[in-house]
Amino acid sequence: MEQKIKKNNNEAGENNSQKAIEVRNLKKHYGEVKAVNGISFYVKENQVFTLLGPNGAGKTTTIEILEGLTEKDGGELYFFGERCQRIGRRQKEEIGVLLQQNNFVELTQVEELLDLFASFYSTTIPATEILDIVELQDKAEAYVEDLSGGQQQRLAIGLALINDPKILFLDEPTTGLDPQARRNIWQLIQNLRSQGKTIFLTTHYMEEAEELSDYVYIMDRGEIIARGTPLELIAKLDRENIIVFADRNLQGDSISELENIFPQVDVDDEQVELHVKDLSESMAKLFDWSKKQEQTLDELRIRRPNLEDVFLDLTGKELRE
Amino acid sequence: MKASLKIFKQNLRQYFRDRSNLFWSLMFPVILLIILVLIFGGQQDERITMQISLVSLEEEGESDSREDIFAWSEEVEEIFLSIQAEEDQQWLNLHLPQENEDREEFYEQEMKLLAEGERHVVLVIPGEFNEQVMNKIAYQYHETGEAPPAGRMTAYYRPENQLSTIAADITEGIISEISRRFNIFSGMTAQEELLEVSHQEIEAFAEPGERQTGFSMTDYLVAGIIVMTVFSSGMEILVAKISLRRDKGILRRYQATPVKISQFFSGLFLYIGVITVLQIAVVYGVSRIFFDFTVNIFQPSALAFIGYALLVFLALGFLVLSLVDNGQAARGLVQGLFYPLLFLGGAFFTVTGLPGFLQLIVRLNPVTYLINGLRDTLGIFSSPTPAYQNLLVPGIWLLLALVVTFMKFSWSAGRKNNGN
Repeated sequence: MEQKIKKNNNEAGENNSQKAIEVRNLKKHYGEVKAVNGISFYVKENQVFTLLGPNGAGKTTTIEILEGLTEKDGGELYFFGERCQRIGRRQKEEIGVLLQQNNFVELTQVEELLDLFASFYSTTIPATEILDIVELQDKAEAYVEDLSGGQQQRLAIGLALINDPKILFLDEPTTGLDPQARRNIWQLIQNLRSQGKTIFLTTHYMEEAEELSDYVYIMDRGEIIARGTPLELIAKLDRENIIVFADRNLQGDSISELENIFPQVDVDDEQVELHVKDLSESMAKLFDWSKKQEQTLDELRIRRPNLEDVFLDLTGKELRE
Repeated sequence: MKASLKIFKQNLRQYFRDRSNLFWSLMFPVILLIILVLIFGGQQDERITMQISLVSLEEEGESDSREDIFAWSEEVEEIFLSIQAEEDQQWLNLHLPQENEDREEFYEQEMKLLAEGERHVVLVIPGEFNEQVMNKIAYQYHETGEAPPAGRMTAYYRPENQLSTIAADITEGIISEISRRFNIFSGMTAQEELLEVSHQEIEAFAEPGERQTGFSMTDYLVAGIIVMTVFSSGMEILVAKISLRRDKGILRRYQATPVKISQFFSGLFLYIGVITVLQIAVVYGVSRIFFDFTVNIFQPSALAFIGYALLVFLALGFLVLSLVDNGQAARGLVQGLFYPLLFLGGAFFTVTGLPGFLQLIVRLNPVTYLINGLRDTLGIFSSPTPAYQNLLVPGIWLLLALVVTFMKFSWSAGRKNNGN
């Protein structure tokens, strides 16, 4: 299926690639609410660019401005280097869109829906090829309402690909899907990226951002609060390891003792997390503490920090709060 | 063009795949028509009222000065009045001049009303009538000389109007009976007719066929059902289609493609137009086959009026969609308005005798004027509202709806108020 998608300038390589989208000081207000409050970023071609943030951060408003669904209140917008006031019909010929809410008209077959969307564009890929790409070959004559959640999401991505777009906007593509369906969508997105598509992704799943992104912008309350590759962002935490063990009715004294030993201790009902740099020294200190406090270190494990930790570090709150 | 046709085809496919749609839009109007015709259709004979004018041109002053002449013309009036007064004779509505009304003026006025379809017969008793009757009676006594003419009256009627023709025949029958009674009164039996009626055709002001050609309850109901189907496809289907797609975010998805609004709506309107034609064709076919419906609904003026009604209902659909963001509420509102507006628009029976507040709704209701206009255009029933109002009032609604739509219509369900 790889050869079926036209490659878009990916031969140029990442370093020299053109900016597909750029915004400067982008603003969108709804009354008193500053949904997008003067953000700037650019998306290079042939990259997976991710806006990561909690619900209400302004991700969807930003992506909807870029999809031509919402008018910006201020700032500049560039589409393949060309400044434009809004994303109009000409630009829409070049983009593919997966909205957060994907519903289809009922009593319509999969292939009919693809045909319908194909009629909206001047250049299109045949429906049968799209069905190959999103692996719904045997569902061409199925009614859309009979598809599973994951299949419907793949169909929605198929609809976004019907015009062989240069940029694909995917707004929270795996929200509400089961883990297997989520993995399938990730695989599909990785395939599309390897075939030269520029992908603009929003998500509040840090695993998704880590798994798929070339570059991540973290957004909160309408503003960009950090940016970089997932590894760069994690490295900025200046910690290498997180020691985790189960919380078995820890008493206040024991926790205070722990906090005296380690610089950052996160305790919740289920587990205790210790953020450490020197692992061997920290482990020795932990064992001493457990002996002294007579605590068993059930389910003890060590994990590397992730984007969730980055977000927690930046905002003091969790992504899914 | 390609996109419009695809949108049209997609809607049409959806329509034929949804059996409940087929029932509600095709079967239901027919079932309703059958039920209403069975309930009201049998009443058509009882409801006919013949509007007959009696104009006596005998000058009253003349009869005073010639007391020797019996006022036969007044007798004729009395007999007609007594027929009208009989309880089971409500088919007759007699029109006579007021006490001091000028006879000539009354005559002119009644002839005009006849031409307009408001009267079925104008029976004119000429100035020399009493003398003619007296001469005839005298001749019957003496039988000398040449036989004088009988007392001659003229019944003016409109030949292209069935009811007018029937009324003229009935009038002749009554006169014949009066003639027999006059003969008995004056002691003559089995003699020549004292009175005669000549039938005089008059030309209608309007083209034949445009005015009512005899009232039929079935025709009346079919026109009501046609407006109902146009209401249903123009407003119900539009509101359902747009609000469901809007709630589900499907309109937003279309908005993210290069498809033009005009392409989207031309596809949708084409679909609604085809469904409307299909519904009307089914109602027409069933009425023709089973209920002797003979009105030609395919005349250009009627089709134009149905098209106008469809535009008005489409605009009203947009008005609802613009004022009510929530799809379920919008669909509920249309369903809640549907039957009250149809009933209070006179779709199934007349609404002239309703009390004040309901009468106000009737007067503001665009359906009233669309139904009156269609019945009038089809020649089924003379519109109780003037023709210009039948176009103007729905037109005002149409304009109002368009203005509100341009100001308030939203592609997405609910106003956005957060920063997601």
